[in-house]
Amino acid sequence: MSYRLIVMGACVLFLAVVLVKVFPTPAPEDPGASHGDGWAFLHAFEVLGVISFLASILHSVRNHGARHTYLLFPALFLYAFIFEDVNIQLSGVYEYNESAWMIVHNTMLVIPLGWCAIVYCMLELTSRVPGFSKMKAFNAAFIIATLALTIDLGIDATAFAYGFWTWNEGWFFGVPLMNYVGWFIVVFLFIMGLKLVEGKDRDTLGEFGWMYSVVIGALIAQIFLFVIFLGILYLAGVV
Amino acid sequence: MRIMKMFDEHWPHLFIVGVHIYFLAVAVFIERYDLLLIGIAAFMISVLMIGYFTGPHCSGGRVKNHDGDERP
Repeated sequence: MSYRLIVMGACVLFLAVVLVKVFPTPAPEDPGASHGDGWAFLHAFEVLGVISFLASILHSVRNHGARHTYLLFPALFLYAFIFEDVNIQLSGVYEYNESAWMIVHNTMLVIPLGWCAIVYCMLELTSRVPGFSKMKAFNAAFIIATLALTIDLGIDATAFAYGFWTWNEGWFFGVPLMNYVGWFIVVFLFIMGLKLVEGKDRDTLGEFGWMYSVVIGALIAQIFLFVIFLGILYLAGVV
Repeated sequence: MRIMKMFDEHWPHLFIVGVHIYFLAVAVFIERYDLLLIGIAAFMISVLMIGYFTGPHCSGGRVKNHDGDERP
C-alpha cells in the first residue's frame, strides 16, 4: 500500500515539474485590475463558497448527526482561519483581493469556509472505503492530504492569474512551491490529529476538548515545522 | 425525497467536480489556455486518485454507500 502512495505523490510532483518546464509562467499584467467583469468571478467564488460550506454542514447533519457536525466544523473553521490569518500576517508573501465582499482582518472569509468543505468532502469520500477507519493515522492523513493537494494544483494558478489573491513570487505559474507544501501540511496535520484521537477515551477532556486539542496541536506542529524549515534555510545560507 | 438521497450520495463528488469546472471556466474567461490545460490535468489527477482510493480496486472490491451499506 505504502509504495503505491509514494508513486501517486511522485506522479503529482513529476507532472507539476514537467508542466512548469513546458509552459511559460507569466504573472498577471496588472494584478490590481479586474478583467472587465467587475470581479464577477471573485464574487461568485465567495457566494458559491458559502453555499458549499452550508451544503457540507447539511450533508454532515443528515449523514453523521448534529453532534458530529458541531464538533467538526467549528474546530475546522477556527483552525483554517487562524492558519490563514497568521500566515498572511507573518509571511507577507501573499494577500487577498481587497475587492472581495467578505474579508475578516486579513483573510477572505470564503477561504476557511472552503477549507471546511474540502476537508469534509475528502473525509466523507474516504470514510466510504471499507477498512479506511482502521488505517494508520499517518497513511490516512497522507491520502487525504494528497487528494486535497490535487484540488489546489488546478485552482491556485488560475486564481492567481485572475486576481483572487496575489503572490509576491512564484514557481508554478506564479504560485510558490511553499503554497503546495503548506496545503499538504495543513490538511495532513489536522487529519493526523483527528485520526489519533478518534476512538480514544474522551472522559478527561470531553469531546469538545479533544477536538480543540487537535486544532491547537496541529497549529503548534505547524509552528514547529516552520521553525525547522527556517533553520534549514538559515544553515543553507538562504536567509 | 429522491433529490436529497442523491445529495447524500453524491455531494462530495459534486463539490470537487464543481470546484474544478469553476476554475476551468475562469481560465477560459481570462483566455489563459495554458492554465486551462493545467486545470484539466489536475482535474484528471484528482478524479483518478479519488477513484483509485475510494473505488473497488483499493477497497478489495467492496464500496460502501453513504448509509453504510456495502455494494459490489
